[in-house]
Amino acid sequence: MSTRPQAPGVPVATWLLAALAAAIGVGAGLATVRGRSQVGETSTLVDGVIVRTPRVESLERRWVATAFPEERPDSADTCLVAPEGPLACLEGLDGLSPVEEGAVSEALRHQGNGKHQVAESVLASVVREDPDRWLSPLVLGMLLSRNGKAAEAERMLDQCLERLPTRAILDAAHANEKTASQELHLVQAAIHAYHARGRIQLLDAPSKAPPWISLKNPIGSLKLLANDGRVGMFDEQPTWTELTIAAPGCQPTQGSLRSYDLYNNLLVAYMLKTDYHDTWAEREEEFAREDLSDPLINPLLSILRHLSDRENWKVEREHLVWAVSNAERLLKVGPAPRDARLSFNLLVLLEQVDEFAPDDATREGLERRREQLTIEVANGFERLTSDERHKVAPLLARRQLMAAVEGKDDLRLDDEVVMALPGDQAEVARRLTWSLSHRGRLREMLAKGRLDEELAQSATEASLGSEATAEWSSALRRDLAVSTAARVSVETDPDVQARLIHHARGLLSPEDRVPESVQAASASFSLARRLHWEVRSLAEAERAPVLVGGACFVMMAWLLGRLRTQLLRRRALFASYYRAELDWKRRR
Amino acid sequence: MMAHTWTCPECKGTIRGESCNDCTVFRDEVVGVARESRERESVDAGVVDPESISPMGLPGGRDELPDAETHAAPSSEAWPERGSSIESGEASSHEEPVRAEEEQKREGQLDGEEQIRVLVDKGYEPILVAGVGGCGKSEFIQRYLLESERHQALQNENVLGGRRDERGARPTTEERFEWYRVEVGDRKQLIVDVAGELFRRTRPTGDEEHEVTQDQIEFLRQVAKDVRGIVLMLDLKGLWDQRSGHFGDVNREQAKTLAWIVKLIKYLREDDSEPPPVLGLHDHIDIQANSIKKKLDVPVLVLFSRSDEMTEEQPPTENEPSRFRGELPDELRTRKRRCIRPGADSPLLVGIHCAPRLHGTLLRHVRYFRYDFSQSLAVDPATSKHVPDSSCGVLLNMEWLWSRATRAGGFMTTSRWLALEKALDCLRPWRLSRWSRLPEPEKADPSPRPCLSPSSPTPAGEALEEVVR
Repeated sequence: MSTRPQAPGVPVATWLLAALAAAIGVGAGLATVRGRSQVGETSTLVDGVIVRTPRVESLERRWVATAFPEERPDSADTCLVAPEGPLACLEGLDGLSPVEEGAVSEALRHQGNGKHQVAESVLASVVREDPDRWLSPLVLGMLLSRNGKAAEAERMLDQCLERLPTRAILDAAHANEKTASQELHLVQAAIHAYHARGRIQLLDAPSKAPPWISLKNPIGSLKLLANDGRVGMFDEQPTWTELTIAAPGCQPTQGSLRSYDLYNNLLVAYMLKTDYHDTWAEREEEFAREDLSDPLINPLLSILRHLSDRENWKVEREHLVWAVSNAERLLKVGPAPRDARLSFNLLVLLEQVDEFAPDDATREGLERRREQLTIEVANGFERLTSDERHKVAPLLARRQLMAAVEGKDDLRLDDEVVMALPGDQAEVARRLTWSLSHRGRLREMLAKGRLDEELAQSATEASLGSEATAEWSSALRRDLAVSTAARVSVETDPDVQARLIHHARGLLSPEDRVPESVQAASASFSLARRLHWEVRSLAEAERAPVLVGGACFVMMAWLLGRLRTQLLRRRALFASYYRAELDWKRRR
Repeated sequence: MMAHTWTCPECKGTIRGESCNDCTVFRDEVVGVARESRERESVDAGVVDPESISPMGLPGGRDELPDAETHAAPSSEAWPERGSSIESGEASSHEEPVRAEEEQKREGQLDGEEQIRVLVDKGYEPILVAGVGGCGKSEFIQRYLLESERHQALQNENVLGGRRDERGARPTTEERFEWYRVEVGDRKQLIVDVAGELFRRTRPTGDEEHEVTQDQIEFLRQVAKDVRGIVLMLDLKGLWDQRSGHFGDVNREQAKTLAWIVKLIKYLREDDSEPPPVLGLHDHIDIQANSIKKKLDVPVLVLFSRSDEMTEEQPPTENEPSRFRGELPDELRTRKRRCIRPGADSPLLVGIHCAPRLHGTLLRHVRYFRYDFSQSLAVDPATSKHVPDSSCGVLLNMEWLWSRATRAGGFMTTSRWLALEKALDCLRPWRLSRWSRLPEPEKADPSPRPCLSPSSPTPAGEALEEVVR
């Protein structure tokens, strides 16, 4: 029995309920504070996030497809035809008559001065005077070809070839003899003449003569040079596969005719001459291969076998099979040819025959080859003429942009290429250049949490259309949200899961459509797991430093003390201390 | 002139000046002890009229009553020295310093105010006990001192000899503050008692036409600024006083007077501005108190005294009695009304329904307040004599006033708690009617006056026995 009366206190049940409510409140507050504080630690979260950007890629792919439609190489406007070789050099030629030597010298001088008509007339008179001379009709034919007089040029080159020992040269080459059997300048002259005439015939000469003899014979004549041990030069380095064919009397220089030019024009001829047909005997001889190469390494062989198979044979695409056959011979050994023009035409061919790939391995091999060819085209882009650049740039830009969009390669689009593009394509190329460069900074922006700010600043710098930027930014935010939410499924820590979901949703703007995967991740993080997380947060708080724990304890004690005071105040308001003393006295 | 010194009865130190340098004993206390002792001796000898002696005559607490014979208090010859410049010793006669002190004192200022101020400076927290004359303030204080277990000297009823008769304490003098020091733990309390007539004069009653003057509220000015708690004593029986004349009016208008006291204290604490020439002081205080949004932040305890004397014949509970004064209709005058039962009724609801004007004032002007019943002493109906140790509702109520719960701040003021309770009662319809009329007692009260039992020892007495053992 108490020795003195006691004022009514707070009922135990009320006190327990209040303490429980206060504890839950403090716990929830701690969990909230903890959650909020850890939201800022995005860098640790982002470290584990594998950023995938399918929406951005889709948008960028759409931009590329819209601006750079795929064109089929069915006309001369698409494929690149190698030009004629250089003219002859009088210094290296012996046995010329003074008249011919003087005429050629004068013609070259007039041509150099831009007096094409004078040059042509000087040489024409010499050609007419002596029907045995081969140099003057060669030079005149090439001058006429350069000056756009295809018919006269073809006729003059015919005369040149009639005056050269072409039959003997081909026989010697066929017999695998060396150049010594023939005079070198005659072989060079024949190759140049054939090449120049073949180019004219390839580009639909008025004579309608087929170009095949003119295109194939110089390639056959190359054997004489190769057998003679003469090597080509490329970038001042010797090469046995890339022969440099100097003009008659000239030394091999950078501007000389190259074996790749001969191959190029033959390939282009097969690609353009859709009416080309041959006998089955010729076909079987041409298409015969003994190699059993891997389609990934030599995909053209796989396509060749597929197209040349009698069951799959179609007459209308015979020219393509011949083109594939010649391309396969070029590409089966070593890397892609270090020639932008030939590489570009091969690239066009490979894109064209992609639909005939019999299997995925072949398709994959074709893509690898296309990637190699694209690199060679880009490397040799500067050596192309202005007209050729305008032809090459769209395909080159499309492939490079698409490769960068799909993440296969870094963007290597040179300003030269962009300048060669039409206006609308150039704008898209610049926009994609900006977007691709900023995609590379995703992780950094994600960690900083300043995505919108970065994007706005970059868009201003890039001077892009706001609509395109907004669409791209929205796609990027959704991709980042999905990438972040994707990590939720592999995380086992509910704490990290909650932070990831919070961060993923925080990346989205109000106008962004919430991706389904983010919604699903949020839904899967059920209330039960949230509660578990909160309880666990409290438990983890116990493991926190003593200072934090002590501060929490003091805070909770203070809160409970305040609560107790308020409850006591209410109790005192409604209680009667008079009655308390009275009851105490009665009990005594 | 020789400087006079006294020996402090508490710490045995030397008193030079107004108070002891080492404790809180005043020179006046020591001097007063000597004077009280001298006066008591005179009364016993039939020389002095007891009524002329200050009823609480020993400011500073009876527990420090020194023995005039054994302590080094000044002799009766030194008595006229009171008020002289002790430290400097420059006064050459007895009358001059006394006159100077009286001249320095403000008009309306009571004796003891300076001591109260010094005690406040030393950490004492004043509690003001307010109420009209005869409501039982002094008895309540004495009973608390008795029961607080810290004023053992007051256990002896004889100590109160000259101050009490068979009906309890005599009226407090109107010339001075009576104050008592109580120390609970590390807290020092100072209970201030003032004559009820002074409180009544701060508010003109219906038949008094005069305006309130600054002199009439002057005694509250300093106390109001320092006060840390207020006890409002309301004589519940007197609230329905059937007598005519001055005392009947005063009793019936207690609630109004107390409500006015609350406003007045708020005004003195928060504003204390001079009234404009066109406005009377009463109206000025009323307007200023109502315009100050900040509520009084000291706890207020409303005690219904003499509640045990309520009988079945006592009138109304639901309306303020003054409304029926004079022209009370017959049907209301004769209607049977139930009596207030302190042991069973809720003091809060009694306060709400029996003193609605006071309750409204408290809601508007005070942050924390509560009601309770109080009974300082009781009369045995058989012998018509006071029963010793018959108090009830004294100790715990005063302890509430000191408790930390009343000091802590917080959003939930009393008015908000009441509003919350009313809102909750909307969910409990069976309890909703208690806000519109006084409900029946919550439980049966078998013995309306259990405190009258002579055999029941007081709590304080029990506690003392424990201490002695």
